[in-house]
Amino acid sequence: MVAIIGAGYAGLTVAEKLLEEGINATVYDLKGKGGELAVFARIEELRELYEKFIERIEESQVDVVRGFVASTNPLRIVSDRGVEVKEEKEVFVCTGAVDLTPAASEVYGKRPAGIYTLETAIRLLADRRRIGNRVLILSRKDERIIGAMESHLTGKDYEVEVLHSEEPVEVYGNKRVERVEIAGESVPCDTLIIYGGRKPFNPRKLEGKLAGNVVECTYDYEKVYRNVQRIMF
Amino acid sequence: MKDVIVVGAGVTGSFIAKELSKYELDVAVLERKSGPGLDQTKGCSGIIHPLQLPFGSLKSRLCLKGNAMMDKEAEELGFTFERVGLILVATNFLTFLAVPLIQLYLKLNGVTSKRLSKKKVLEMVPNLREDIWGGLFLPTAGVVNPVEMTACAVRFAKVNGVEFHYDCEVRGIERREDGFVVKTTKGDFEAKCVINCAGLYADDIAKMVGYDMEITPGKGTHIVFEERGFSNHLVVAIPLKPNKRTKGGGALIGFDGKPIWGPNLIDVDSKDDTSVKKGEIEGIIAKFSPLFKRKPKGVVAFYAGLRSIAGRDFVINQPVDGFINVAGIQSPGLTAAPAIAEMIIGMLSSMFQLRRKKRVIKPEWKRVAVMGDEELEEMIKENQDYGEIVCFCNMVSKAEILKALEEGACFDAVRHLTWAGMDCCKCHADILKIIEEHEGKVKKEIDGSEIVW
Repeated sequence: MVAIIGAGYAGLTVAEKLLEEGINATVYDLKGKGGELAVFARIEELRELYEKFIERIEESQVDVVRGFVASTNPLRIVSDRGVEVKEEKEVFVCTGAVDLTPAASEVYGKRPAGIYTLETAIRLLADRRRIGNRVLILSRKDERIIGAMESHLTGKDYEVEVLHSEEPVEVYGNKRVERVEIAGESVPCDTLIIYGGRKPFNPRKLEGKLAGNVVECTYDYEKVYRNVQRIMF
Repeated sequence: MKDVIVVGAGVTGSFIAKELSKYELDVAVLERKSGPGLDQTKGCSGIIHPLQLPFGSLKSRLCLKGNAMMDKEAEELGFTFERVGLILVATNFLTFLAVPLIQLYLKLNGVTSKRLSKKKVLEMVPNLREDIWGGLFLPTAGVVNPVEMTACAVRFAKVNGVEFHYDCEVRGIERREDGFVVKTTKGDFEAKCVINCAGLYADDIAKMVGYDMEITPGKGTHIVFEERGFSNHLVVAIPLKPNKRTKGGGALIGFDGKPIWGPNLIDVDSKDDTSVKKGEIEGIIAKFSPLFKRKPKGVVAFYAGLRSIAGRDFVINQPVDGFINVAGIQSPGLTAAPAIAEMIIGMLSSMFQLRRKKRVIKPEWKRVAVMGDEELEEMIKENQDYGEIVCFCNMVSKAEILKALEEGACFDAVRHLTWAGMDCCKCHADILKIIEEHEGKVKKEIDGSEIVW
């Protein structure tokens, strides 16, 4: 049997391609279908930006088994059904990417409430949570998602400032962010969204063929698409 | 009227409360933050020290005693504790010559150690540089998760009848004939005895009964790396000249195996100054890098804690009948906590007719990550939330997060207590949502630090 871990863009595409070749793979994901694209789909400006990828996952007919894959060799799956252990011949690891932490993104100073990685901010905003009022988005890498997030926040009545800079930043504030200092300038804000890049998300060190964003580590899904194409087609 | 009020639910106050809960006493703990161990305790290095200089000082004696008690405490309370051992590395000829002398000195003071050849040191930590000379192994050194250790003591105290009041800041203390009235943001509490475990603010509390002391904050900065297994032991270079104020930090490891380098010691003016400066991080890296062939991979976090310093030693005294100071508990306070608690029982025995409870309850706390398949299967059958994994990195379930909320209804308490979200941010939004569903809003650690609302 073939197991695919992760039902995001890469996992679903790999499953479909295998099916075309007559191979029935089981796709595992803790949260069902769609990965982070399913989160992006709930924010209008991101939905627009990722439209063709979101449509692909929404149209996908692949069945997804809900569960957390704790290990490969053997495959150990934990879910509300209990613990299942299976032998798999081939495994595709499609677990995606995760944002670098604030420290890894050179955010110094204090750690009051109000510091979010881009990823956490998106996940909260997609669920209609309010994360602050006066937001500074600090991006270390220029990706199109930053502009889309700026429009989204502006539309939701946040006061937004976007900075593209590789300079280290220092956070000030006691209980909540009050300001940040960057390159000798002080920027007042109550919220810092930091994007310092991404890294592979495979904390369980699952073994198998890596495909998609776990390799590319980006918010640019054209790159994710090309990676999957290279591997599967 | 309570028998005893403990001010502060850091590791010291919580261990005292835990020990008091074994006796027929009416006890309450007051804490200004929203959970246990979120101030000084959270910011420490998590090291169970093998010794503390100068031998013979109060902190040294309590350190040795606490270290010896730790296995039993960990077993009784259910916190993670591992004696990973510490290697004192001789990096040059002079310190290499000193190794036998250090060993003898430690032995005379009751600390066991083992001399290591250069080959043996490199076998134990292959990432160390080849030009080291040898070392000394101190097997009693260990690591804990300081907030977990504290919260486990709180849990024990609670099931055995101690009341905990969070978001409860002490504003004043009035002396009465038969005891004290402790005035707080959550109303007045009367007690026969007050124990001051207020950490950085212990001087403010002591002044409320007329005892003058000063606590100065000493900042310690740390850097946490991602690469587990970089070293499996704590590594400290033997200094040419010991510093009287600090052990000097080290290339440490955390309770979960991630490398932690630090802490430094920086005197700061403010008791809120936990800021991490770029220069401090560079300083720590410059200090410990020369020990190794390379740096550990990946940066996860920076953090700074504040030591509460009242001179060179701990200040444990009773300046006023019924008022006990447990102040100036800087390093090795975590190690000493169980021994301090025992010492306080001794002090209280002159004040109360202490009677042990016939039966004490041992609460259950076990992490999904360390459960076997069968045990986990059973847990999931009983409660499906154990099968809902929220944090991938440390395999933490929703059930554990909900359980942690009983000990501290805020993000930092949940994170530090369950280990969820301690490696990356992937599950932070999910944790925040679980807390919000349960509590209505999410704060980081104290009223006013709201994250989502």
